Amino acid sequence: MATAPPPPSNPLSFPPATFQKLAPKTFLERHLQSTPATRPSGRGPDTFRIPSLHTNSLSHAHGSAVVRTGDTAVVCGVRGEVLSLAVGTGGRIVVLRSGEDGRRENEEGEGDEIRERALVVTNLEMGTGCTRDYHPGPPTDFAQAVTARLHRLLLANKLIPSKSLRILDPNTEEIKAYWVLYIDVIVISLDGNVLDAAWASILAALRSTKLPQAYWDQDTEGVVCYPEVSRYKPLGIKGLAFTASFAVIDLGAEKGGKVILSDPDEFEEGVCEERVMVCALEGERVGWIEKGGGVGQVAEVVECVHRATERFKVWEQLFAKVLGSSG
Amino acid sequence: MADGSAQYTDGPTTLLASINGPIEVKPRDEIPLEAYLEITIRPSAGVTSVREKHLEALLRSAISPLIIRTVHPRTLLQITLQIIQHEQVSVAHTLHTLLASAVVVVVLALVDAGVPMKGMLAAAFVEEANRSAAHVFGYAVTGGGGGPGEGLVFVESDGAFDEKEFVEASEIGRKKCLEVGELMKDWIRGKVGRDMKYRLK
Amino acid sequence: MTDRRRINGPPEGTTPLVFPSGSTHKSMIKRSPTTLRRIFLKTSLTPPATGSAFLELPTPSCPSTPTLKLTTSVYGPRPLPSSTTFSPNARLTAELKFSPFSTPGRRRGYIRDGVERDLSAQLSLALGKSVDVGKYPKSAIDVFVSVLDCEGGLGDPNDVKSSGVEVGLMSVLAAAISCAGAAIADAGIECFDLVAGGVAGLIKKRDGEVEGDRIVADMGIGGGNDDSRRGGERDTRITLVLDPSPTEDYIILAAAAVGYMAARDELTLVWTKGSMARNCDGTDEVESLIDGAIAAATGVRLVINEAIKERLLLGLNAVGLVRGTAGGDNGDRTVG
Repeated sequence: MATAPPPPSNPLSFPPATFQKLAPKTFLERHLQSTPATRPSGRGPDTFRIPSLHTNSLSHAHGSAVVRTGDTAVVCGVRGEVLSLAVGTGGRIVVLRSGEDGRRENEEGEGDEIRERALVVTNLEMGTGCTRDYHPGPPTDFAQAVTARLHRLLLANKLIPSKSLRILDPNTEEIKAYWVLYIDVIVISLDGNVLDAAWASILAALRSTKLPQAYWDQDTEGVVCYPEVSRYKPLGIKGLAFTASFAVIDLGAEKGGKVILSDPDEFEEGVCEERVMVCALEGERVGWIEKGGGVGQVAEVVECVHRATERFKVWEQLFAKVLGSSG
Repeated sequence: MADGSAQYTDGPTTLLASINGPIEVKPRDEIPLEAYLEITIRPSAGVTSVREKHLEALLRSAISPLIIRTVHPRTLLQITLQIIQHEQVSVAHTLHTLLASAVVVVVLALVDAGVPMKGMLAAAFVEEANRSAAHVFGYAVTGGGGGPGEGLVFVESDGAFDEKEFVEASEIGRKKCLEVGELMKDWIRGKVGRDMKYRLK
Repeated sequence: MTDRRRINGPPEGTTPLVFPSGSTHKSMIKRSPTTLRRIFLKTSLTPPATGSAFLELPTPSCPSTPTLKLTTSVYGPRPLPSSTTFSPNARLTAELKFSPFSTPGRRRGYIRDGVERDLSAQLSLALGKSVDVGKYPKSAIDVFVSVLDCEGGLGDPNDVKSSGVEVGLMSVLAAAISCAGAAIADAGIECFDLVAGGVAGLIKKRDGEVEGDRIVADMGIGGGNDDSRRGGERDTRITLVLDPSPTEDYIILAAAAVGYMAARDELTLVWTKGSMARNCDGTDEVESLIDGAIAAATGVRLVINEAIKERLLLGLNAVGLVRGTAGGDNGDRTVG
């Protein structure tokens, strides 16, 4: 704990920390009006926080990753369990609920099984004391919305080949069971932009995941796995996709207009209502854009797409370094 | 009895929105200088799930910039959207079509309830010809920053596309939004005309 | 059992993996009975929290051997919620949660189960006496522990049961106490002393001898299902082990976990499991067990001291009160 600063000589002035608490919006605006525009954290408006990544540090998960960007840190663990089709499979009725994305026609028929049978279970846990406002207990609306976005990202990008989740009968090549991947993201420390960190951790954990080789055992009518570590197989994740989130603040026409802040921290997220999220794919393509919370222009979104493309390269390099070419 | 409501049918989709407010707010949710916005989406069958919370968050980000919340500080504005029917016929992106209709019906209900707003928002669903991408654009059609169709409020795009395709799609979306906006204005004109009939006699 | 606030798996339910034979192998003991394992302890890894700490047993040489990792964050003193009644003292609550992927066998659920509630209660007992709660009236101090990875031996019904007492929960609790102690100090909350956790166990050297049918005498709080059956007298093949690990290959007859404040020489928590009798030299086994656990806790305390000192010097350095190097070393220490 730092010692208390000396009392101000002028009674009408107060330290920056008090200013930040009293008038958060003005505090951020003053920072951005300085030349060059600087955010309270010392970053420029278009500077992302430097990410760090570690994989496979957990012993009971089939794949895991720890991602840290600034003061936001998340741990993702992937664990496989077996869904056996032995019971009640013939007349399975799929009931799609309203608003649920239905069957998509796809030449490979991929994505359908994963979606319909719920083979991928993504969850985000924020009730870990990661920040002041989140308590243990049921997830907040925010945590639920982020969970749903992560889940949608995962299914929309079709990163997991359904083939690698099928468990076949060795004789008949018939699908007897499926792997179900439980993907759990635990937020250890939260300082804004949990989506980018959580998504990167999911992708890294999936790329590091190795499932044991499983086969259908006719005698026991169940799925049995080979214990040898050498027979563990990766999932064969296809492609890369990285999200980049932005917060937008309007300083007013005469004071510099709109400023787009890359990778906002908790304080900036609290002040700015306008948000943009871009998911960048390989080859400078875009997989997803989400914008809301303020009145803007298309040019703004295009600027975010550019920044997201740059950010993609940073993540790509980090993944190549940590996971190697195999990942 | 709600303060305002609207029902909207677009092909296979039927939605009902109701607005209550300004009403008393729970002390926990009270905001000193603004009204608290509560958005609830009820599915046509079953209980709410993570998916509805996601839709609620998207809907909130679409409509909240147009509502002037400082007029009724320390109150609650309650928006409830009941999905009566929403089936996917052939369209792959059902979430997008739902979202576009939801924005329209909620804005109409807000106008009906007399909630102070900066302008009206229209949303349109745009799909690439080869189904590689789907977009929902929300443009302000009156007020809300510049002239009609100038303020881009909301985007939800999904698929695989590049910058050029996105800009093209946004232009199509803008035109569609202006069309939808004219329809919305017509509906409101008709509604006001009927309500005010006794005065015009 | 669908949870409408989370994404659920297939409604048919899933089963954990099945391997053809009981393929759990335990590693050979490489350290002497009185050597503690190295621990890695670092504070302030959750900057939004008032205080935080991360504790880890270093990755073992064999990558398939599980290890223990947990994080703790402390919030407070902060005002009690307005709904609670007046309290002249600070209220300390502790919550311990296993991550879904932290344990062997079946996946953990999100809702706190009985084991987690029991450990949380014991943790708040162990920490409560160390904090000067009288200094913070009408305040709450909240401690959150997340177990990211553990060594197993939790006594889950689905686990492969080893003969003897399971010490997994004890080592988790002891590590949680130490980590939370460091986090409370990191938060700058006034304490009488720092609490450290330690575990000791009585082991029987494996020599193939079959034990006879003897009487069960369970003295533990949570040790209802151990099957160590022994009688009154002891032989010399029983030895005391500090910091026993569930992954090591021995049969533990009895174990004790303590929360210990070294400077005041006070115990805040004692938890024993298994049955204890009189030693051949006339001393009580329970005493030697608790003494062993205290020795383990004292060793851990040195690491906590170092971790806090390092952080403090770093902080003082930052405001320019101390000159010289404080960092450099990452808190990794060998104790014992």
